[in-house]
Amino acid sequence: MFPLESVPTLETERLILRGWRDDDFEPFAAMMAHPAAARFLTANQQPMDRQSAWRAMATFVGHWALRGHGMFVVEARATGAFLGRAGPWAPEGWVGFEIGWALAPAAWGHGYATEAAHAAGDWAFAAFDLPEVVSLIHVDNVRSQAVARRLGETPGAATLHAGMPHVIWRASHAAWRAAR
Amino acid sequence: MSLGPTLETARLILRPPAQADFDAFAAMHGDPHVMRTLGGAQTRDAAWRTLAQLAGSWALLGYGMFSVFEKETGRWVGRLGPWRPAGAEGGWPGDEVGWGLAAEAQGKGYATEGAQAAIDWAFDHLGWREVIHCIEPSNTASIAVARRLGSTHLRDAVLPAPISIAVQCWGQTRDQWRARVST
Repeated sequence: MFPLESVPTLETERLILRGWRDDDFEPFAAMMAHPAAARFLTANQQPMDRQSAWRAMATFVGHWALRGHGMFVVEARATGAFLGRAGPWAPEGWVGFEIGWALAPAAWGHGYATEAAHAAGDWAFAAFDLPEVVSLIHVDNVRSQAVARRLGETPGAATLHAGMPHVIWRASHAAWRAAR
Repeated sequence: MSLGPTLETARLILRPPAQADFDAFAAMHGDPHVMRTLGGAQTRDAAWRTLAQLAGSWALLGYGMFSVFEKETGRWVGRLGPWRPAGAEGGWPGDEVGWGLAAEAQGKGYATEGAQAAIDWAFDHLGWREVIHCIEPSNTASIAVARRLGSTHLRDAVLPAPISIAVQCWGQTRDQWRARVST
């Protein structure tokens, strides 16, 4: 069992990546209820209700406890504001060791997703023996595709996720390092 | 530090969920007969997320369901305990101690025995003044457990999405529980 007080805190130029706290719920639920964010985050592309959002957040926390890695909360260094989440994601049956990201729309367009995913991926490659990481991205999610390219990922196999067309983007450890 | 306490009864060990529990947990949550009154059978992938939610509840709220083990064999036999997803403002109909056991562990009084320990712990450590059990009305086995615990049918509710099933809320107050236990 991974002790959750051992979740590391990662610092980048503008961001802090840290473990989840109870008080992350309100901004997390607000992100999941935002139509623009929910479009590529929920199984039906619709805003998520509070109860389901809590279960999603509890799943992220439990992922850390069960796996010893998982999504970090991304917060702004300058203000401490919750911006979103980024990090490893590998629940049962997943397509690989994912580095995922999702930010509240107010935090879009600043390069934060790339900055956060870079830090989380660097940590994952250092902490675990990973040949590659993947990112599962909806075919219409152009913003995340641009982030994936900046991370050194390239598009691989097409797949259906929640009944919707996605592409598995991949980066070997070498490709990841080369993009830093 | 672990997610939560380990409790011991005459025949059972209760501790917070762990990855090692997953195969048995997934088998129970994939059993359509067991799950017919617990929201329906879950795929293995969905069951892992449920297990993660139980662990996450411990971390976020300080309580959650325990994994239950049969002392004699060390087998994982089910999950039970305090459960109120999203806490007091999440739309759950109250402070619940719920239970669900694998088919082969039913009929031995384990649900009652484990729930007693979980209710004691919840009243002692969580400040709860009432405990409820959300039971799908056709689940006569769980209604019998609720009766053995001294609970009565308090009210009806619909569990919030994504569960969205109509349930009977059985339960009792802390004072009633303690009065029964002390006699």
